[in-house]
Amino acid sequence: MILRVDLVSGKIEKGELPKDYREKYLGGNGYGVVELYKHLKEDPLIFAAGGMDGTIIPTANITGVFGISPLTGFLGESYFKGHFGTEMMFAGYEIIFIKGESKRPVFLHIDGDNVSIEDAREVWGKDAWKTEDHFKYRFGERVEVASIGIAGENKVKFACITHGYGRQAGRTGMGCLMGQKKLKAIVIRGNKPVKTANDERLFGKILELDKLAEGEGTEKYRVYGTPGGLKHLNESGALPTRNWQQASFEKAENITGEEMKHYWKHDISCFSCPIACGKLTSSRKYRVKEEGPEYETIYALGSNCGIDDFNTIIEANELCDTFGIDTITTGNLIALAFELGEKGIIKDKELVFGNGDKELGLIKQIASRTGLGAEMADGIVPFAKKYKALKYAMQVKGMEPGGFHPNSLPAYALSIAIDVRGADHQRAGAYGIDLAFCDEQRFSIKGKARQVKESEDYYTLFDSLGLCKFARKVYNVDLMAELWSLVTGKKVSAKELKEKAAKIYDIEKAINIKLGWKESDDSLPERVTSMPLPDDPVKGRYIKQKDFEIMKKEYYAARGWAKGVPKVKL
Amino acid sequence: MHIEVDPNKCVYCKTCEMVCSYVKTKEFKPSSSLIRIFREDVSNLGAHVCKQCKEAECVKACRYGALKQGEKIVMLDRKKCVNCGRCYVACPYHAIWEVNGKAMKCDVCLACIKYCPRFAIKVDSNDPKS
Repeated sequence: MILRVDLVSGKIEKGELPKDYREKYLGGNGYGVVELYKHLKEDPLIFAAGGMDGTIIPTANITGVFGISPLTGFLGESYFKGHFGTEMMFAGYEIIFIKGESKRPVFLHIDGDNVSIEDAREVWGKDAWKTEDHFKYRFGERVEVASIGIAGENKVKFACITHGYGRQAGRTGMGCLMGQKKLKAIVIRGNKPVKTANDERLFGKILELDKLAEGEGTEKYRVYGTPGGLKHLNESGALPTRNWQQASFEKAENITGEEMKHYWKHDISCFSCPIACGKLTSSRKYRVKEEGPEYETIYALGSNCGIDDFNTIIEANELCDTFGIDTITTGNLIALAFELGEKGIIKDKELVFGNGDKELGLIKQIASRTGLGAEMADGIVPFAKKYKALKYAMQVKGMEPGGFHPNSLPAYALSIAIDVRGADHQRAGAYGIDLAFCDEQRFSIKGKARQVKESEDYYTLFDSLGLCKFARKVYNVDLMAELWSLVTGKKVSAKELKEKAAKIYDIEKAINIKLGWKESDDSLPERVTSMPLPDDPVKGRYIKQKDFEIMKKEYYAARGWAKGVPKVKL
Repeated sequence: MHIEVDPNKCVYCKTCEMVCSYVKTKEFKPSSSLIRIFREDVSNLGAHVCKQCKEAECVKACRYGALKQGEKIVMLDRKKCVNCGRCYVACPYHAIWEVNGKAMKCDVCLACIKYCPRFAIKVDSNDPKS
């Protein structure tokens, strides 16, 4: 069912999902973008649960959040895992569609069939974790909460939505959109079953799938969580360091997944997931206990800011989580401020790489929009423009890339440039294409564009069906097709699934075109195309503009887009 | 003997809830599971599941003879249950619930143990009060 909520009039409507939705758009990503495409003028905020959420299939628990991004002005979409999407399914709603802006702070309370918009003045001004505590105390510990912290309330452009004490819909500023609507939280509890076409056969497959998910392919995530790959990335010259000026960090051994084990307390997983990549850590220095930090946080707030003290990174991560701001964007902004400080463009002696205390201070300033933080809270482009330093800012469409240095990874460079939601690592995971090679082929552009397209479609399937990408070595498209056939009762082939994914991606691009996309928006930051890397083993590497243009052309051709524009028919 | 969840090993994946609800009611529906994992705050995990007490409060509370003290576990006869709700209130562990209109509780079928990916669930033969 679709739950439509109008925050202006207070009207709540429940409608059946259009008949062809499940077959054409699968769920999650597909549902979100097609609803956004249809209702773009209403500036909605859409939550969509993955197609397989709530079945017992391991790692199926994704929730997608969609809207027009306050940060980039283009398609905003972000995903979080945990227990929210599955709870949406148990409450019977595949899509929650919210439009309008409330005059006073409210929260949306969904208890199965009972849906109400309630006053949230009591929790307005509280951080995300305290908000979650409040609702769990008030409605029982089995409710699931997605909320914003004070950064979202202050409309920081890259505010995120927090769920389950540390699961974030971090990118593209969806928390800011919630803040604009004065929607503090969504509290949900479901009491219906999720029915599939073949419950018994699915149940019979679980032990087999669990065994796969606990196999070698996920060992890194199970043992060390996402930071498990940091050491390898550093050695292969792909770890962004000091605002992307270097690709390896000399003190990297202090921030690896192995080092994080010293701070480890407990494993935490999402719904129906045997991997449990979430690692609860604690820092005695700052007396905090929290989930993470993840690899992306460690690169952004650690190596990229020249910081190698794990206690500081844990504290910075905790501050970002409770205030509700995206750690990747925050880390990149602080790194840029540090570089501008060292270059003397901003007159502040404390702005130097490696200054952990300054980093913590800046995070607080950003969330509360005070001091230098007030300038940074609108995103990297306005901040860099103010100091005429756009050439030092690492961004595409106003958003910063995930933690892989594109100068030494051509497929990844292409993927961040053409990505619909701005520079990003999660829509194609294209760094994997480059890093699969240990020889000169890693730096070659041959055939990479085609692979990026394939990879994007594959990742779109994960986001639509609701599976976790960390299980990408478990689920190939054939297995996805087999499971999807079991869930829906309609036979579908791997090829058909891929075609559906490509169509979903076309709609995403079409949304961007409606929002004023030009071909020049698909370009690389200056640092990628003109700065040779200084360190081994990637010394002298950068992406030549000419090479990039060739890849971009090949990519558009592979997608069948003339000049980057798709033909969309719903 | 009763089911015991080790909060240090449990990762809050709720696989046991899905398995339990399917085994007992043939539906994937955690709200009818007879083992319920909860997370109070960032790091405090726990589980509600019947402790099969030797002197069970639920048995004392039941006026219809539906709950009986068995040899090893507390037995529930759903046919006799009228869903009066006394046992829900009486249980100090919040481990007996209304499922599909009548009371239901864990009968130590061990399905959750078989499916737990982290081996966090085991059978404990000690009485919680002793």
